[in-house]
Amino acid sequence: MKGIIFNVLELFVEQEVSPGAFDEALEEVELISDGIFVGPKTYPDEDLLALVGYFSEKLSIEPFPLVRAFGRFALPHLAARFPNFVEGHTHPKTFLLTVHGVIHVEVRKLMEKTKLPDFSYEDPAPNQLIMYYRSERKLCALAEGLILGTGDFFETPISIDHSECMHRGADACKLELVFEDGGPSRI
Amino acid sequence: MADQAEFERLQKLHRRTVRKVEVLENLIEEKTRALYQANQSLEQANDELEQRVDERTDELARALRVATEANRAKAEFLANTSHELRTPLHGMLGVAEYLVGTTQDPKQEEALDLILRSGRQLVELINSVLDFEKLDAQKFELELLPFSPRDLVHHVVWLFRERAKEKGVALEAELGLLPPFAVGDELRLTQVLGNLVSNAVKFTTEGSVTLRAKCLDPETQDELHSLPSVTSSVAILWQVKDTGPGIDERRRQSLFEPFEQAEKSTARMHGGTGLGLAICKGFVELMGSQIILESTVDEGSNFCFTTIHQLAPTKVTSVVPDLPAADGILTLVVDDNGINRKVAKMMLTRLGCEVEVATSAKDALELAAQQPFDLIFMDCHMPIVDGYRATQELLSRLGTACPPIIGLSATSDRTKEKCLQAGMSDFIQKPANLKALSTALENWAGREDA
Repeated sequence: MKGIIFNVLELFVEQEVSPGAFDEALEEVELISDGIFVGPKTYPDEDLLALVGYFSEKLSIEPFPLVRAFGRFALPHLAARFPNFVEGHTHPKTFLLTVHGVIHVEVRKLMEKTKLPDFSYEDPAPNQLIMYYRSERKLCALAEGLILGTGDFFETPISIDHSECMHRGADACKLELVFEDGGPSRI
Repeated sequence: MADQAEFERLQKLHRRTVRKVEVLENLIEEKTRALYQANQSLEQANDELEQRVDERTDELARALRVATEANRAKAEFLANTSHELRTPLHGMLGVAEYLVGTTQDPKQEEALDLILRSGRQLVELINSVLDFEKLDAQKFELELLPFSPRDLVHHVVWLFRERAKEKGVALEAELGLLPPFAVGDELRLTQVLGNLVSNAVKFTTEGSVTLRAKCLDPETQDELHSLPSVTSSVAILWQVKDTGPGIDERRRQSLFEPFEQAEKSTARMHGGTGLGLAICKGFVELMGSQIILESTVDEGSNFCFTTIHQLAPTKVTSVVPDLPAADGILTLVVDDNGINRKVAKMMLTRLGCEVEVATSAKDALELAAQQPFDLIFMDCHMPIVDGYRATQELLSRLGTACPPIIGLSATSDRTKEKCLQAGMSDFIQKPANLKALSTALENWAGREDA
């Protein structure tokens, strides 16, 4: 997992839990890395899962909603760090449609050894989008959170029906999105 | 207590931040090094690439020099070979023409006919290859002289009338308004129209072949009904239309490419090098036009092109005064080649002339000073003093008493123009035939029945 995700997680914890909570976690959780996370470097996935497990227990929140809340928090910070990816978009649907074919391609160029999930799409109606998520990490909660964060960023509420899930044995997580503003304007 | 806890938290944060900075510094150093190395590799690759481009450019320049030199050598070889081939052909065809009509044996007549046909075919072939080579090397220059478009059309029709008659195909000339004389390359126009008419006659089995010519306004392309003043120019539309088998769309695309024929079996059935239309295309393009082909399968084809010509008040005339018509014309043949002299003498004797021969310009000057010749046939390419200089010398020494001089040469490259510039009255390309010599006698020695 790239260091930037740990950096945003630190911001999330400092803001949503308490100042100093991230340092406490670093002292208490046994990490594979030294806990000095910098954006461009890559760190073990296990460290992220250990930190999530720690906060889930500490805050008595299930890992899924916790990771989803983190994803929702993370999106605007990631957008601020990589503004080129959101420029030119005025609606979350057009942005989300570029995640696999454009953003992930560019991220691979910027960051070596990045493991990124696969997305495929169905576009049944202007106000709908079906995204299929596949990843060894099975971080569909993070994907859900990032999608909701995209809705916040473009000020367009999105509802998600996570009808099929890799955690329940499906090949891919099926995320059925409905854009409550009716979809992007054709103009 | 709270201040102490906050102080400790900030201390931890500070330590972690300091370590992060250290990690980032290391990372930046690592990336900078990697970037430097990548840059070095890139510069090296760039240098290597530049070197390879330079080497390749040198190789290509060398190859181009070699190819240009080879092409020049090929062109020179072709020109020389062509001249060398024409010279013995001139002898062979001359003797064969001389012999026609001298024997009662039909088998011998047939054999002579075969020799003449084959020889003429060979001459055409040599001319085609040489023309194509010159066009290909962009070395062809048109000879712009006054000519009669009307006579040109009649001449082309006359050339193929026998062949059309044999096939039962009507060959007709249709003339619109045409100027009496226009400036252009008569020989090349004849060659183009001859080739188009020859093809049309060759492939048409019933119906007709029509050669049309008419004047158009060069600006509007409208047909002219009266000629402008002689200082103006006109466009002439040349058209060869037949009722032959037509050419389908696919074959029309490549018809003007060298060595292409509408049917691959054409070469077997009708002969030809496949250079004819490529040469026509080259000549017409050189004249600033292009051949347009319209054709419908089973209905016929229509080849046409338009050429622009300055109007000429009259055909160019020789600086040498005309001589009165006389029987038993006295001619002088000047040629360094023994066979050529002999052949020319045989043919001119056959035509009723008295013939003297000279082997060099020097001999010619001496003989011309002693006898009043009616006509001189002058080989252009002779050692020491060539035919052009010999002509100038004759004109200078004899003045108005100098008889008309007809140039003879196996090379065709602007030779007629050079002959006329040197003061000759006309030019005959070798191998000369009886008809050409007879025409020259008729035109320049006042002979009525040559």
